[in-house]
Amino acid sequence: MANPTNNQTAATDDALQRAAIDRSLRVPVIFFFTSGLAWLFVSLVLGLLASIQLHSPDLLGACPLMSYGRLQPAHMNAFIYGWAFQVGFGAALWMMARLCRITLPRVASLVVAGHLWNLGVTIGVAGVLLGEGTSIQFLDFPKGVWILMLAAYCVIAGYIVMMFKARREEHVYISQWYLLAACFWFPWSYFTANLLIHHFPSAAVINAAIGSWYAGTLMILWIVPIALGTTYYLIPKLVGRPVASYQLAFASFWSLAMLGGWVGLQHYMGGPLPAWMPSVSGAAMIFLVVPMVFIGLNHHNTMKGHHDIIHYSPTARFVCFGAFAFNAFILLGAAFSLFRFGKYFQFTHGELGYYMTGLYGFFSMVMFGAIYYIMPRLMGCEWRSGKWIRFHFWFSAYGTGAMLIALIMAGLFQGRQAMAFDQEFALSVEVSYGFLVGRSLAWCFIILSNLMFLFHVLLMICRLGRRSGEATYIHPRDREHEMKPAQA
Amino acid sequence: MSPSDSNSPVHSDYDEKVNILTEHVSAASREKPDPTEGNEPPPLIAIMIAGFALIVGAGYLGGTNGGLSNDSFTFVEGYDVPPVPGGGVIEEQKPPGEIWLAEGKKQYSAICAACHQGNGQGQTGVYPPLANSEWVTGGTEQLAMIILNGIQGPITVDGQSYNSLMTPWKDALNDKQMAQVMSYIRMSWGNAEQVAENSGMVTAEMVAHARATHDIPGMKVSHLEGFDKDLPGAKVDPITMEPIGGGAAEGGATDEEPAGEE
Ligand code: HEC
Repeated sequence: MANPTNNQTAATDDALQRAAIDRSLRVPVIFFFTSGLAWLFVSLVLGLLASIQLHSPDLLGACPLMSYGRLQPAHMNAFIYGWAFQVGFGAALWMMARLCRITLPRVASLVVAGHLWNLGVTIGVAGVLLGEGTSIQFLDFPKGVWILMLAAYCVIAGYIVMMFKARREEHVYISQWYLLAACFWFPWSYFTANLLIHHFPSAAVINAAIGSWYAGTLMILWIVPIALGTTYYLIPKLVGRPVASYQLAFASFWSLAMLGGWVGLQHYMGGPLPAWMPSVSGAAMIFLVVPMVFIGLNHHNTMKGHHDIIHYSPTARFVCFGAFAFNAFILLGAAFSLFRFGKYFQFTHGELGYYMTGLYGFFSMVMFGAIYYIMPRLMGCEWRSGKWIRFHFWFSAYGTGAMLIALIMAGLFQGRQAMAFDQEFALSVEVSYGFLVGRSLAWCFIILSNLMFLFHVLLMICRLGRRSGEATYIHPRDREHEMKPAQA
Repeated sequence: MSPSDSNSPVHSDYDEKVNILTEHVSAASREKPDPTEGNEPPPLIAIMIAGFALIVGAGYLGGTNGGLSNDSFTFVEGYDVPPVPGGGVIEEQKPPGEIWLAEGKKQYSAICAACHQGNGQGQTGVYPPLANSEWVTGGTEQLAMIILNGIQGPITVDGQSYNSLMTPWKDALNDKQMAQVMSYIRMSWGNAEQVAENSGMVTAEMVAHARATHDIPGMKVSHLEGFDKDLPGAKVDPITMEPIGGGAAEGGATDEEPAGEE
């Protein structure tokens, strides 16, 4: 079926332009991907240690560095700022450049800002481990680091915004809405939260409230739009069809935009805050089901008739898994906001399960997909082995699934026990023992899968991928059933 | 991995001479065009589910917003679950006697359990048992003397003889703590059935009396002769810790707190 055309002649002007864009972005995007992956690995190890610490505290000794209270925040912050942000930067830069048809002439300050960001994360994580953390969820880095991070962020996001301003393509595509919005949303909440908590602190309750608002908005206003921008780009790209419905995309984007800023305070429902605060946040979390449904249906309809790509395309498989996990993430968030249900999960492992679903099951999986797509374009070689990709996928998929179940169950048991205020609090930790062991096992799965991935990426970076004109598939592609010529 | 399906240049592997960084455009050229938006109408189901979510969310907001006033705090009926069935009673309402014994257990685990073991069985030949020990279940005076002063030399416990030494504990425990430990060992491991009626619990004032009257360095079993009797002071009920008849009953009102804060 494939047109036996020569490589050069098949490459239209379009393709040449795309290749030029890719070339111009090689250094910064690879920089963000690799340093993000390094942090991912650090974070996973910290997470495993923290997880072990919970059920077998004697295993790692009594050194304060190894206490759960430091490992867990170090792990979460390394995950978010080290991995999620950097891989997000990489993907956002690349997609924005592609969609705006911009070749980046100079990338020096981008790379410098990337290094500064990494410096900030390093100081922050080390600070948390040394006991200098602030103990505010997702803002644990020692006071002051945020200024450095924000400065670096502004340069990086500035590049994305500048590309958009200088775009050579008139049409503004859905992914661009999300990426651009995320560029502005995040600094808004990061700046506000840090300023109010660290520099103009008021009552402790208000600080806690702001902290929870930040944690909520971080997820909904950065993690979610970056990953959604990526799914909106990759899914239609892979199937070669337009996104099914403009109206649905439009409605879901704007509902997310309107709801995103309100979330977070449901964390303290039943707490010492005026009732309307958690109530408004909780309602926003429930309303988020609307964009979730719209987005899910839109993707589904876009893929109609092309679901077989999940079978062979690594990118499609990871991205679709992530898009599914997005539903779980939003539904869990809505469910936890309902008093009747959420009370059992408040302040328990269940909440961690919610965050990990969003951060790993949804965001990271989508980003893995993006890396599988982008990397060969930047490095000029193809992934070494479909089997390795399969390994990465299944271990990650089972890992997150198992972790979600373990954490939710642990949370349920812990929460029920913690509410039985006639009984010793320590019991609430003991009852979840089995599930906490399960969580550690799930971590091992995830670490294993990412070791494989890291190795694979390393080979790609060393240009040791396959030198081939054919993409690497998870399973050999069934060309019999294909309707379109291969080079389309 | 690649299905090496043809000799077509698009699919074949590059040979080593090709500079893949500059000449490799195949990934970019086999790509499908950049995505755009289509115009399918939103499916009905989307609108239905969205409507449902809106109703639930609005109901939630209406039910919990507390009138949007800054002075009204969350109160939702049923937010505090009732105690788990079969669980104990509320901590604050635990009977005083139970708390007393729980405190005693803490002291015991911290100090005595190292030798006499958590189950009070001691260690054969080295540390005598406290369970089933006539020294423990007998009169409170001799027991108080043993713990305050320690004991050395031969001693027979539950038919076994020991010849060793226990250091005094008078400096390690104050009167209240000592009383709690004594109550605990008298009321545990089946000892409760063997102590004289109503004399299981020991109060701080009893211990204070013993401390004041018996300071015997290097105490031996022979010193205990004639002290197999209970210390003076109001006996208390093992559950309520209320004084029971006899003894110094006149202090009834103040004896409600036999714990006698030191
Ligand atoms: C260092 C180990 C050690 C510790 C700790 C210790 N004991 Fe003893 N205890 C002994 C030994 C040894 C004897 C037997 C002494 C002898 O042979 O004369 C003894 C004897 C006794 C006896 C009398 C014999 C019997 O078994 O009834 C009592 C009562 C007693 N201990 C109570 C206590 C209490 C109460 C504590 C905690 C406050 C305590 N002991 C802590 C070692 C210890």
